Amino acid sequence: MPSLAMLLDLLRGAGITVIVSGLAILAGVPLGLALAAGRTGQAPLIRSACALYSSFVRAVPVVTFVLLIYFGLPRLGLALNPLPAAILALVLNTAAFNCEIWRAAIRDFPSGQLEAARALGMTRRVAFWRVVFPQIWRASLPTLVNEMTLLVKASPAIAVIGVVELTRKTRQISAVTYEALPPLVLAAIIYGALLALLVAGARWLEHRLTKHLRTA
Amino acid sequence: MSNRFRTTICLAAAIFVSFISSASAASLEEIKKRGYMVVATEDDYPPFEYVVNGKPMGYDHALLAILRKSAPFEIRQEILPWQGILPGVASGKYDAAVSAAVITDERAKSLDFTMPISESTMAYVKRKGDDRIKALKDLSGKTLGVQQGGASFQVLPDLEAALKTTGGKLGQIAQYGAFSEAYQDLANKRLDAVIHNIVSLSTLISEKGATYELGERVGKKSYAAWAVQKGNNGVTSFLNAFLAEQKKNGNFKKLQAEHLKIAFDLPDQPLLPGDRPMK
Repeated sequence: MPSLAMLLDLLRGAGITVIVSGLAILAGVPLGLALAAGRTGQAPLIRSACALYSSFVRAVPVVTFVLLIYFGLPRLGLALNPLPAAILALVLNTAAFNCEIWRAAIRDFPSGQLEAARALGMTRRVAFWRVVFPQIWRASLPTLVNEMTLLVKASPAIAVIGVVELTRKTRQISAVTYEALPPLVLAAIIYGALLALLVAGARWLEHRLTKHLRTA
Repeated sequence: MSNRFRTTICLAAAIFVSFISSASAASLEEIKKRGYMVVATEDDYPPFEYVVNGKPMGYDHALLAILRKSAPFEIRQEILPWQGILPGVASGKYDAAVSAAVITDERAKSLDFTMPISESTMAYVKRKGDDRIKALKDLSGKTLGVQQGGASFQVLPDLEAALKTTGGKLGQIAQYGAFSEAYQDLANKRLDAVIHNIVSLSTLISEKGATYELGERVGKKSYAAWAVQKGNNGVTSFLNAFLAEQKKNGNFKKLQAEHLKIAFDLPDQPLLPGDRPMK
């Protein structure tokens, strides 16, 4: 039976889910933008490096990628503890997907506006921050939020290297109680609440940041 | 193929090779010098290792607590799911798996084992009152639950051979990440039986005797031991010396009775299933 003690134990796991996913989102969104800028930029080597990265990371299952980071990086001289390795893996993963979202927005951006900005004497960099970015982030936000929810739901993959997040907690609890269902039901409710908060937060942010665009 | 494309492929291949080339684990001298040993334990394997409210418990943790006191270096512990433990030891990430890993022929190829810490012969468990299964031969054609990459999976050829002698055959096999899910599916009638080691099943029956019923043993007599990377003899003998000491001073049987609810007379060296010596 679900109990208060079980709920508290699960909430500890949910805390890890929130911290890990939250950091991955905070770092992954700008990193994705940087990758998209690289992919659509003018340096050929950077273009293909960014394309290779994005294609490779999106092709590898999250759980495999987590194992690769945790067991593979020490060979390159970077031995991370499970928690930082998990965060790094999720950052690198979500950045690849965010890269594609940003890239699509950049590609669809009306080239006339950019040409006009350049004709007015703006450098590419200034034109990007003054003209392109303020428009593409609004176009990308719904898709970015969708990717964030996917990331939260992919986060149980980090359990494979010993990070006990919400789903792993359900396993630990049911291993002792021999009943898989009660913790799973509670976990599903917690995930639902977390994602509802995430989506509501994104709506609020969009509302605040676009205030100046609305007429009273 | 364009030149740039070829360069990128080569680059990717080089990165991969450097990733998968095997590194060797720390030797006992290196462990002593750096001052710590890294051991991996499981988190959902009662009564050997499990976690209650974030606290690790069970037979292996009780042994580990004694090892911590006697070892001349710090023991660092990583708690992780089964699927990551043996690959982590084989790749040198952990110096030892302080987990009840069943000694199998397959594993003996890439790992060394300490002396057994428990018997670990497989058995099956069924729903209480399921009259279709009265003996081992009745498992013919039934749907069975096992653990991915676990010894319960590796015992299936033995079971198949046993069923053949009575004209039976292996039915559908469902693989699970965690046994709690297999037990749930057994209760849900999606499975007819679950195969697991006799110790874990006895613990299940002591908790949930109203739902499940223990069946016969399956396959050859086998043992569980701690695992070390192949050829890392220093670490293996260090752990063996520790276990021999616990055997001598009586801690071994005391902890078995306390945690496993059953005490075994165990051999002093690892043995392959069917009491065969290691190759």
